[in-house]
Amino acid sequence: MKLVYVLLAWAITALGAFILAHVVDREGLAGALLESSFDVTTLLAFVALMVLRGLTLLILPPVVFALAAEALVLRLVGRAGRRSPPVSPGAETSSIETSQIGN
Amino acid sequence: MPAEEQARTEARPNTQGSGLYWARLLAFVMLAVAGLVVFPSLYCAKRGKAYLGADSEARARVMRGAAFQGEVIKNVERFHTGSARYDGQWMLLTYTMTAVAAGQLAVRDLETTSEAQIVMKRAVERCVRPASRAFDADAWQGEDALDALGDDSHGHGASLAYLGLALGWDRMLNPEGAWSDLHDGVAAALERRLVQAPAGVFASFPDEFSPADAAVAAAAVALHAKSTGHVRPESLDRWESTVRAKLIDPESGLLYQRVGETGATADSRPRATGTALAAWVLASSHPGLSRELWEALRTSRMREVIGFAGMRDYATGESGVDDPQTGPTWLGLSPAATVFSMGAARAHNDLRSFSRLYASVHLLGAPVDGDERRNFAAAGPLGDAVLAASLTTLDAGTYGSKKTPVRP
Repeated sequence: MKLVYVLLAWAITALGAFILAHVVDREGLAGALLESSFDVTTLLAFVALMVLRGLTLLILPPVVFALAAEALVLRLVGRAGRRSPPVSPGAETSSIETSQIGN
Repeated sequence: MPAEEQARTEARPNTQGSGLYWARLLAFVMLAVAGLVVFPSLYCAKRGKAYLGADSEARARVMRGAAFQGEVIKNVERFHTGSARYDGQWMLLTYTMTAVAAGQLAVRDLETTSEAQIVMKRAVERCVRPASRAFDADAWQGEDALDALGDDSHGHGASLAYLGLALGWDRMLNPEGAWSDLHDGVAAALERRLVQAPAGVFASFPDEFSPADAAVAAAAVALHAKSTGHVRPESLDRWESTVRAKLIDPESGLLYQRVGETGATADSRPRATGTALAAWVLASSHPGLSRELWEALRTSRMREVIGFAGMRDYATGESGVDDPQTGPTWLGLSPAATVFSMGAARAHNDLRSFSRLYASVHLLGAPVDGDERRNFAAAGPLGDAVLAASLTTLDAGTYGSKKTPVRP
């Protein structure tokens, strides 16, 4: 379930970054920081864009990867646990008996 | 069991469950760190491969993005560097880099020629208009660089070198174009001024000598020879020797950012911004010098973190005041130096460095695609034009010599 939530957050941040980048581009806010022009709207737009891109491209992909890998490992471990037969009190005895019969 | 002992047993932590929790957390963190090291840079660097391939569409898109910015900016008011001089210079640079991108694209990708011709025409028309040289005329007490082409007492390097480069690319595409006479005059003036300069660098502004501007002038002279079919002037080889002797910091191998008329002064410091511009622009005309500058940049200024790379303007531990001419630095890293270095890496076929530098550009530049163009949301008009010029860079040692220059 955690993985689903993070995937959802990833999709939302990616969409937010996409929209904001287009808004910055169309509104002509682009490049103002390169010119050292620090008006509040531009600064906020730029910071928001960088945060969203950082989340979309840097932070969330490794988190999704780690969650997916963890879920996969847990599922494999769980399946392996279900496949192995339950250990009964008489199991050891029967194996000893089997070896004795073989001798 | 007495009640007291039972309570103590229940209060004891479940060490097995706690250990499992920490083991799972540790595994999660290690997986996340591994993902951080591998995936983001891999994805961003992969986006850069489109500029290297045979398909011209990615290169055409960035050229259209730069051309779009050229249409949007109407005048110098678009720029806010805090200095009227540099507002004007940024405007001229925007048009020059757009012309360079169009020229490089047309020479490499012949199918884009007709579109590149249109972009080139508009960019050069804007370069040539007096408003684009007003910043330079203001600095030289009202003297227009084009009115003083025959008088070498004032350098006018900040406008003339870039105008010469734009006109050169126009000439490559239009050998008998409308600006041919002007181009001949500008190239002759640049060559004379380079020859007369004792340290190979003439004044960009009064008492300001920029080796990077001199490198642009030298490239413009070489491009003039290439575009007109003339023999490359020998003075360019002498200029290269002078640069090696007088304008390069022996310790770092980088170009000094500012020098005096006769060479380095006590205040001269090597910086990545000027060196990267020179390494990029000289790749076609002076490939040996360009490669040396690029190698010096790569070894002394390139910083890499989890597959992303950027260029420090100053050496580690050093710092300086940001100046409007080169743009700001973030955490010591210079966007301008990073973008020009990316072009130099491309020219010298250093694809590993190119990919890592492009990964940073992709992450922080925030590319926006639409209307068959690509702009970078963080870049602005000059940034888009410089990125277009850098991403369409030709192989070192050619001005399109692998293909015949386009003749309309």
